[in-house]
Amino acid sequence: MTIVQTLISGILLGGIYSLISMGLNLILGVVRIVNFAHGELLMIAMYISFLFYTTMGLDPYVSAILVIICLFLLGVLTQRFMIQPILDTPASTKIFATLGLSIALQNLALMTLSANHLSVKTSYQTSVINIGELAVSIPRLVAFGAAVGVAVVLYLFLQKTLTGKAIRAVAMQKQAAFLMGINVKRIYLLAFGIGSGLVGLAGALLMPIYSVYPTIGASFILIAFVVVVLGGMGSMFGAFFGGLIIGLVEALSGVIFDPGLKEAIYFVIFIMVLLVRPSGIFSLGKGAEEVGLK
Amino acid sequence: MMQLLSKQKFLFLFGILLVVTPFVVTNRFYLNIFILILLYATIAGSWNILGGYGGQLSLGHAIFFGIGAYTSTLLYLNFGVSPWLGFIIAAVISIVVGILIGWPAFRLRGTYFTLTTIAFAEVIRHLTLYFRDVTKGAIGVNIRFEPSFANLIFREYSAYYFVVLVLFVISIAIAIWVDKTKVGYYLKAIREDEDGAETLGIHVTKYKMIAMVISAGMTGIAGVFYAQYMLFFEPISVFNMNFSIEIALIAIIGGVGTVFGPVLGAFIIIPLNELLRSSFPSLSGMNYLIYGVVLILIVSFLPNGLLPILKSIPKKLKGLNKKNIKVEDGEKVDYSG
Amino acid sequence: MKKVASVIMVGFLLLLSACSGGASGDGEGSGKSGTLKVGALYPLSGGLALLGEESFRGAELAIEEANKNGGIAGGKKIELVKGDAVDADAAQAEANRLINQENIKTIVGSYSSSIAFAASEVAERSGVLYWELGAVSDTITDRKYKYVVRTNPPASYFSKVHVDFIKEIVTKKLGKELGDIKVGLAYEDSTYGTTIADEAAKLAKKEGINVVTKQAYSAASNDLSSVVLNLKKAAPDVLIAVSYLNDAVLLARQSEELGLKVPVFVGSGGGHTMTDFEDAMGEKANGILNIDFPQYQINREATPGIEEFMALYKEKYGEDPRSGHSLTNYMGMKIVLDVMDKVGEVDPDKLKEEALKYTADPGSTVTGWGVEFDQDTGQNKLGQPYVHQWLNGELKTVWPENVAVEEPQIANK
Repeated sequence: MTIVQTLISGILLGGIYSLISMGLNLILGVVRIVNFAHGELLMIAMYISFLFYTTMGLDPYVSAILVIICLFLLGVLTQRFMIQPILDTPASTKIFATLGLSIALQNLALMTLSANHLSVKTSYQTSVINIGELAVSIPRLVAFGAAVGVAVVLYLFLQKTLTGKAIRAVAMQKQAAFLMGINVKRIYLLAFGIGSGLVGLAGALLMPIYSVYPTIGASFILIAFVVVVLGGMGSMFGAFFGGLIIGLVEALSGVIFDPGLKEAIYFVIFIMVLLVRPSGIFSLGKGAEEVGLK
Repeated sequence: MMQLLSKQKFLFLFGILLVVTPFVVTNRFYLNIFILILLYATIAGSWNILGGYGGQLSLGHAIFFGIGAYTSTLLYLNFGVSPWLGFIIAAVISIVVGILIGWPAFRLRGTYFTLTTIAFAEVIRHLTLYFRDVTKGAIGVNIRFEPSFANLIFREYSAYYFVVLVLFVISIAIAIWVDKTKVGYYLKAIREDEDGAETLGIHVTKYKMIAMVISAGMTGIAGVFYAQYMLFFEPISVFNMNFSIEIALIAIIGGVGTVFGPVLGAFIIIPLNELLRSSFPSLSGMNYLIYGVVLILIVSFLPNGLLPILKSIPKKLKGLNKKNIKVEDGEKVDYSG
Repeated sequence: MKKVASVIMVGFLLLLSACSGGASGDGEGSGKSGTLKVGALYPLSGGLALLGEESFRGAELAIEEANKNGGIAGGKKIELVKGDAVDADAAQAEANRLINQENIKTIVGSYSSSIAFAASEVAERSGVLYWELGAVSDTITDRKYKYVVRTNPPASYFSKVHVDFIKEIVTKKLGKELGDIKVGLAYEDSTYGTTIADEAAKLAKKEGINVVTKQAYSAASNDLSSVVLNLKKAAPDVLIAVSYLNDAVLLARQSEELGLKVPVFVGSGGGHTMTDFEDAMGEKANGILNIDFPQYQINREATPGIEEFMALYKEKYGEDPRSGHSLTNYMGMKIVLDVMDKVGEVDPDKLKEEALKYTADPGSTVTGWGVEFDQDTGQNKLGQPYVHQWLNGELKTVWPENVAVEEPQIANK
């Protein structure tokens, strides 16, 4: 029974990781920027969600749409004023610029909001659906459902709509896309905005599960990178399944080996996947060269 | 010829200044800053061989620093091995680990290489926490303050200063050697265009590995010094990703792929750290906020670091040169491979 | 290259001259204008900022109070100089700054053990007296450093109270023999968790208590389902948890979700003490026991001065104390001030000598502790953590009886 329960917990955790990683994946795949401040976007989303809760009494699930909008705008502004000016610089510049942003945002939050852990009290925060002896946490199930939804919607959007096709075109070959008359800069704004909006959704849905504090982003950012690389950059389903895999690995290794070893284990798996199949498990292999792969 | 001469003169003067520093600066607070500057200049200089000349942007150098600290200290505490011998053993083990990491990681490029180095560092940090029978885990390692030359523990900071000065000089010597020999040229070629370098017959992996060996070994040695200087360290203080970021940052701010870039970077970042921390005692977080913003501004507007700017200042002052600021060394770096 | 060289050289010379200028400082840190300087090293930013600042407030309040009451040692004012020690490296640099720049001879700190280690190394080397008022690693005083004194109880005292509480109370409440009680441990894997858990396991074994599982995990974990499931399998009667805030909330929520029911859940301070924990858990926090430094729902007779402290705190910071860390540091700082009052100056050797002579009876300080320093290690032997319980949204002291305001409530199932 324990093992089945572990699988359930792992998959639900994986849903959370997927949800956080899909935005990062989109940004990395399209704008080609390794955004180390992604975790801080998550933190901001959670604070905004908390703010709606305390000032207007809005349930995090209700205010989710507002949080998404706020984060979308924040993403667009970040892209326009911070990322755009450094797009043509070396990768090291981009890494360090986003690292700088991450440090600045973390400490801005510390200065203005203090290090207190803030959480919302909802009636459903520890509710579960019981199936025999098995328990499925409702807020985690919601997050998982959202991850599935986002993966499907995003896939359809990228495949079926004109804008989505333009985004894919830019991701694959931005010069060619530019020559075809696509406004690359606008696509970048859009991609960064959507990517951040997705983090907004993640933040809202995580609010009933975790407390928010200035450094919460740091505990998710490396995992998000692992998930994105594992799944394959630019592939939405890749990020989704990458999240599930890491969630399962984390839960299983905690039960089979030792909870103190689970981080080491998923980083080892990450390294092994990079070596065996560097383009990621689900990647189509497209566009990987530009980020540094042959 | 003129240039060579002035460079030697500069080195000579700079050397003299460094030697007299502890006699002029008797205040421990400042001497501590000088020790840290030299230590970080040494580490950033070592990072620079791999990350600057070779273009392999590692954010996992804390691995070697931590391995250095743990190796020598555990040998010292458990078997009474003098840290002087520890320097050598730590360097050897760091090099071995460096090769074990480089062997698979060098097959990856750019961001993927960077993420791999981060992942290796995380694995090692968690293993250090887990195997606490050997490493003492999170509690960290505490060395008793028993000053003696053999223990590499001194009451006077000036003694530490001279030890780190020696390490610093060695690292500069190595950097100059790399800069002036074919190793440096090949590494730069690999950085600029790896495929092109390979086509020209450069054994890419071999030269990356040479850079890794130098870089890992020196960083490990610096770790030994850190342990004996601080007398206390823990996994989070030596295997810290922020540490890896900071040393890369020092090299980048100064100017990567140059001998003196990391030195300049250390002379700026370390005092800045101290200044910011002591300037805003009542606003917690303010110092790091400024640090973050400065970081963004510098890498955004001066991606080649400050060294080229410094070089252009005197020329501008003389009004000699308005449109033709020559780039002398290999500061122009493109990590996108 | 020549130009660069000259620019660097000029910069270096400037730096050098600036530094040597500062070396001649402003003489002794005392006397002149009738003030005594005390340095305070706490993590005021970064991940430890929350409780670091809470701890600092206690020290700050004690000094403000003393100054308001006309100072010490015949009207001398105390000047508090603070340093932000986010981690061990920063602690080392800041300790050096306080000692050499500010000419400080007495440093207090630090909330976190790694900060205490780094700072006390510097103090010991510089011959400056270092007072630890809050960090719990036993090693800090076990090193028997000449210039280290600690007023608060270390981690092993926590472990002892854990085991004593099981022996004295839990056995009775559950109606079981000591040997039949199964104890589980879940703890975060940094210094704080490992020291308390290891020591508790050792003590438990000595008493013949059965430790059925030990689960270490990283406090930065996003998921503790595996810990919870492992615990569920072991089915302990008593769960001793050592957690920071984030993981305390996660552990409690996931235990609830996954149906882990432990008759006696005992935290060890940290996260389980925080009002943020109660905020996050709501009524689910009810009944959770917690061993920690003294908190505020405590027998007033055993802790003289606690109400004045709370009033002072509210007046200065506009809110109620967020945890007992401020109280503990306040208590420690008052001892520091008492000792300084007797000596009248900041000479570290005289202060240390006077400190070792200093005694106070249990029940006479604001935390209810007595004071008597171990002559070898400098550790206060008469401090002890108390057992608390979350009851209707308040953390009430329940054991030992002399400080308790309620009976510990443990359901016999």
